[in-house]
Amino acid sequence: MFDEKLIREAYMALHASEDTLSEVLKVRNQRKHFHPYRVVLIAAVIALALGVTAVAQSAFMKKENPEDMLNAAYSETETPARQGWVEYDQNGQMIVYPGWDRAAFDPALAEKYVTPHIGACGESISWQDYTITAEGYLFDSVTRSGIIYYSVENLNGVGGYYFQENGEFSWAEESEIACGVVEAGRQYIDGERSTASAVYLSAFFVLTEEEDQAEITLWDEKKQQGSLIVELFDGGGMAWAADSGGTVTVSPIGLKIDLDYFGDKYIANAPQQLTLHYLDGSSYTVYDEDALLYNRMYALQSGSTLTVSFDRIVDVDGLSTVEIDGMVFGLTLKTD
Amino acid sequence: MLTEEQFCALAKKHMDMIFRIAFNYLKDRNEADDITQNVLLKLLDAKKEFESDEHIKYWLIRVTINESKKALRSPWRKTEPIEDYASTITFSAPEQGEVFAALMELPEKYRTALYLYYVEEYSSSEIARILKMPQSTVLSHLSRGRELLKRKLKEAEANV
Repeated sequence: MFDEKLIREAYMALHASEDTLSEVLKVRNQRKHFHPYRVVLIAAVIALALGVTAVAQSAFMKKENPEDMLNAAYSETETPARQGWVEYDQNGQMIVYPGWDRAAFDPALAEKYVTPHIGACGESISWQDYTITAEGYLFDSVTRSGIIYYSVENLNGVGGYYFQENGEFSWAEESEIACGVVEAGRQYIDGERSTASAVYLSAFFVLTEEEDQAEITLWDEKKQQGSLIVELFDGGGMAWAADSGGTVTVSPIGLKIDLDYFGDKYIANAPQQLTLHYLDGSSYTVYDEDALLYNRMYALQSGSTLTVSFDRIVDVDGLSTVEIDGMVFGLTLKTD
Repeated sequence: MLTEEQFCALAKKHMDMIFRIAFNYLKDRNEADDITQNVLLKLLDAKKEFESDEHIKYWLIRVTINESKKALRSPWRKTEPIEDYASTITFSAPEQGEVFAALMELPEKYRTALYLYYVEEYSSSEIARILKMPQSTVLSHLSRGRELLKRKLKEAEANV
């Protein structure tokens, strides 16, 4: 039976732990006694820990031409391969530093599969003293995901943000403004191009089937906001492969999985291991939690759909199967 | 900067809301508790001048959503089965437990819109500002969320 009042009552039964307030005050009091050197050490560890999740995410930046952009994003040029490892901090907390392989960049494959899907938009809006400009994007119409590259400019200066060593970008809580891309994950700064009066950012986003535009929003603490809508085009259709039941859909730069197929198996956790197998017998491990191997840029779960973007360009024509935690799904090239 | 007394009053007033929003995203009690603590620490450290209670609440919701999304995207997060947590919640009527179970099966975006609308009693335009999305999207999330919730409750009823 559906009753709107029941929604409220169901939620009202949830309560934060009784210890919450005392824990917060305890942490605050402990912090008061921290030596500054200790604070610096903690900050460094956090930056490194976050760095390992970034891998090549920060590499999709606007370059002179599409090939340079794709070379930077999908090759070892800017992010060399490394082994993953585990460390423990002094509280015994495990810190995982994932590793990744890198694949050679194939310009012909990039030209065939990906270049048509790069959009150099240049649309902009002015809001208060700021100008938001969508510089470019890469849109994967198969997985309905993409990476957008944009700038926020103010001749009086753009401040109130910080970023990690790996480029992961955040607005400070006390910042007068903030910006982001709707339905997006982390943002990364292009440190080479950003200046005191302009910040250049990239963000990964996932759209629903009905949506065909990305939205970049800038807002201030008084809830006022300005938005730039970017119409995305599909570049004439992207090559893709899928299994017969439509559980897994693979494009040259990413895949999406309908987790509903697996019933309750992935309600709490995403799959632990994901590998693409090719007809020639070779394979590409997209990620393997146990092996600390993350050959991917991003992974976003929205509802029951898991979307993963690759760190290399995949020749979908040569795919044979996809393996998800040992379960194998045959893939067929689609032509529509 | 808030005094400890002001902070404690605000924390008591809002910590359940923070927990519920974080739980909505993460569906994990421990993670939601961690986020509640982190958000309250940020409030304690906040140097900004809040204009009103509503401004504080809006700021807390935004920070909670940001923290939850950040936690959600951690590649190594582990969560407890939601049934384990549900069995510890005291519902005053069995129907509430059924609605809770159905809500937790909804896609996160529908759940969040429904929570802000029915529990925090924000309008669709206010939710649009909070979630940084067009009002039409919020209306669509509310409508689809309600529809899906009804369907799930019907299915659950039929299975009894």
